[in-house]
Amino acid sequence: MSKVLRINLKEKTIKQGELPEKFKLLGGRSLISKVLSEEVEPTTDPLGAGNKLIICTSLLAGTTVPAVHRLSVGGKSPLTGGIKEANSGGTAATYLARHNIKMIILEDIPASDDWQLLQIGKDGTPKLVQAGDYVGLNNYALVDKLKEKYGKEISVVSIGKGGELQYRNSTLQLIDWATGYPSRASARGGLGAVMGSKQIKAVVIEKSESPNTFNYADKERYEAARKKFVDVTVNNEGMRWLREIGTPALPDVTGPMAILPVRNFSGEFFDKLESLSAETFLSKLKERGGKSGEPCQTGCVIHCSNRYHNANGEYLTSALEYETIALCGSNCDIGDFDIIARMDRLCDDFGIDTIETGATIAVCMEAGKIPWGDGEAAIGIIEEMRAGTETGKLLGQGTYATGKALGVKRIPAVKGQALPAYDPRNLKGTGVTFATTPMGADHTAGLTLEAPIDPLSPLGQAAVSSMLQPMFATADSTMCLFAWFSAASPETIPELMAGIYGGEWDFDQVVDIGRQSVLREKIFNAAAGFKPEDDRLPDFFLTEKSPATGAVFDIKALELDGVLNY
Amino acid sequence: MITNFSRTVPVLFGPGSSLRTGLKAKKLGVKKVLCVYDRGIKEAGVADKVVNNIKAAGLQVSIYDNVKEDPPDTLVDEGGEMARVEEVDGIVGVGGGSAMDTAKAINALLNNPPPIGRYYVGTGNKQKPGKVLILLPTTAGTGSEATKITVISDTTTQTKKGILGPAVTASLAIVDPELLLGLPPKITAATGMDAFSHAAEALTSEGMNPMSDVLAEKAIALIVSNLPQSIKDGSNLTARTNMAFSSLIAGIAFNDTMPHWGHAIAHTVGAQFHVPHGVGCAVALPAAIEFVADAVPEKVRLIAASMGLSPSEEQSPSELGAMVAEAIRNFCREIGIPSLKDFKINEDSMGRLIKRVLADDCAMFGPKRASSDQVLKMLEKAHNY
Ligand code: SF4
Ligand SMILES: [Fe+2]
Repeated sequence: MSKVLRINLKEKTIKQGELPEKFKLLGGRSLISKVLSEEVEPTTDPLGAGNKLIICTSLLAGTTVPAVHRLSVGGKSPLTGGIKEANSGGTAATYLARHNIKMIILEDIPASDDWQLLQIGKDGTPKLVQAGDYVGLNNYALVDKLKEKYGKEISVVSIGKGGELQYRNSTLQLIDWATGYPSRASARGGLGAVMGSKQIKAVVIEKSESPNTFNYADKERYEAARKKFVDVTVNNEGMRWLREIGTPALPDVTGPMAILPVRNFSGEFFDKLESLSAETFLSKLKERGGKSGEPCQTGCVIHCSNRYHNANGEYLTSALEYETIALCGSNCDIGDFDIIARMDRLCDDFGIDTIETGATIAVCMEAGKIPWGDGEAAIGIIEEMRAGTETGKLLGQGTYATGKALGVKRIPAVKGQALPAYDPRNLKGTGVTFATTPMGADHTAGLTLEAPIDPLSPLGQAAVSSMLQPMFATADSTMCLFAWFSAASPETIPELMAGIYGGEWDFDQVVDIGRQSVLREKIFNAAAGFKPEDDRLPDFFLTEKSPATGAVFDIKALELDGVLNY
Repeated sequence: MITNFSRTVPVLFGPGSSLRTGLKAKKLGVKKVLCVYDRGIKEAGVADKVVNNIKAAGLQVSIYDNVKEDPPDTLVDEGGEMARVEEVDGIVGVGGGSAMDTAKAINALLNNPPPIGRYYVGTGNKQKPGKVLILLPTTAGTGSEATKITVISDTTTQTKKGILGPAVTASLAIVDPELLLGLPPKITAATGMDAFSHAAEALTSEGMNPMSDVLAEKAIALIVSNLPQSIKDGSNLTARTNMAFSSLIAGIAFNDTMPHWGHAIAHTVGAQFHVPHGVGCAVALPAAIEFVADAVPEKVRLIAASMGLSPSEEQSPSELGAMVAEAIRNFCREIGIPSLKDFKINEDSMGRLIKRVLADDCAMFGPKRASSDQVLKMLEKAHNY
């Protein structure tokens, strides 16, 4: 059985135990919803002693299936006030799995200022170490300094100053395997602030000197299933774009459909779409020695990641993704990859979510605080957050808080969390997901971009979202989402599960892992005080026609209420 | 609201119109057709009439007459193989829903590699258009002659699967009410209720569409006054004509809005127990209408009005739903629709169907989602019709 570490930050105690048998078939999002449901009072203060920060690996972590090492973090979100899970690739899940650690639970908060690092030694021994020297560092400098102290071969899960300041838009950053930089974020819901409230600056995982080997229920069956899974993944022509370009391929798809958000979700077409096209992106990479097709974790066969260099050919950022390009780019009327990449770097470094930040900047633009499309002014907003001024602290509370304070009428947020990069009027199924997922508007909760229905018609949207939400929750419980959608099917996944865990599986049983998770999350949120009226999009999407399509979001409330009734 | 009015299939309508089949096929440039029908149609003497008519126009005809109810994918593949071997450049489908749906799927295989299962909705595979497809309905119910969908039984999973698109849309529908004259009362009743369900579900689906509404309302009104007539006197050409027209416009109505829970249930009991499609629709429709009444009360009111009921303004959506449901049940009893019990299906087996109902393509289009419990309730009500 794999291990569970329980760290109490008030007592400074560490308890090691085994993963309870009943959790054996859970991982990632589903494990988090289970533990939070059992251990955290839904009404608790997200930044108080009653909240817990759960860090765990995906269900298939530890196996040799490619791209299944995701690290999930979860807790009650200070941004949404509801249950939250955010996950990321990078090296951490692989490192933890080699130590046979499934989950780390951070409990309680220190009585007084007392920052710690959680160090996992080469032999797997966990230890709390004074973090005084590291406090106040942002993620890039922090990781440099930790590498000096603990050696190059460490994995780190850390917060920047954003998390220290308990910004509700703050992230946990993870190290990207290809570049070695802390550019992968468990970004949404402000979980960095929860880590900050517990005064853990970083989890430092040293490389295991005796890596655990996974105990497969049926090795032969597993190997055959694994081989099939890999074959399907690498031969999936429909996902070639992901391997060759990565998510920056998406503006070319969403832009012409007016799904790409423009000027604070105005619903317009983006008049500078060329400047954010895949072709422009790739040519920038080529000119400056950047690269697409990079793996965020060892063993991935998809390689959707990238590194982006500045005009001098120096590394600027990595894992520059569609959501960042859209929210920090078109949504702020900015059509310049160099600016967006700088924004991405500043956010990763300081440890704040690029989606929430981009949406917040657009709201500032809408309020007239800075001009539309002014890249330097947008960077100025991020600098303000980094400086921790009074204004900066307000901005760090997220898009909703900022919009309210500035008197903005059009705030694109659900359950307090800013919408990701899909205009819900022009991709209605995703609008249904944004409205109804317990996660707050979230791009990994059930995207309908590939669904074979007219994205502008209400017909079938609720059903598709209802069907996809458990699927995405299962993906976020088991492996990298892109691996799941490249290869998971009734032909591959049940066999894989049978080889790993024994027994006979069908596809629906696997999807039930996610379905049960979503149901637990809904119950948690209801107990936290969420009402059906919280499962709605902001009014302006219902009343303002998208100028590009004439569409409004016209899925009825009653229909939304039934989406997660299984 | 912005909505689509899809292009509709060209139609030649009226008593005797089937006598122009050969002429029309020739005009559409066809040299050799595959005529698709079932043996019942042949025994009724309809098939030979159509075949001879086509031959008389100077076209070659091959015949595929192995059509079965709830058309299985295997037979579609068999027919597709025949069409390829015979090198036909047009398909003429004559019969009820099964024959027309088989003909449609075979047409898809004329320009797309088999098996037919590759093109089910949800596989993401696109198809090229087929060749010339002419459909002649011999029942008034399915409306398949006017729709852009075909429903095929997946024999490996025992579920019904849809295929959508131009390859399964007729180039021409020839609706000749005279072909209905010999139809026995039982089939007339069941197929008539299929058309009724298309109209009622199109009206209440999530795909809100004013054109569909108009057609559906008219279809319901015509069915209510003409279906009993065409059962009582199968040779009443006026009643048959009105039914043929209702079926056609109900088909056009659901093209843009899609049927929902009633059809999801009918497909499931059809695939599982071989209950005729129209019977499945008839017993499931009342439960489906009751279930969605709170989501679309104004549409349920339109059904009531089309049926000649006059609900009061004060009636709550659920009372309205119950009222319309009961009226449909009474209508079904009047025209002799059997219950699921008559098919020796016991109520306990309903629970097993929940997942299949939820997985049916039509379940997507309800104006309201249903939980497993809610689906079970609909199934039980259908069983207790
Ligand atoms: S597909 Fe992309 S995100 Fe997933 S593991 Fe590979 S590189 Fe990382
Ligand atoms: Fe039907």
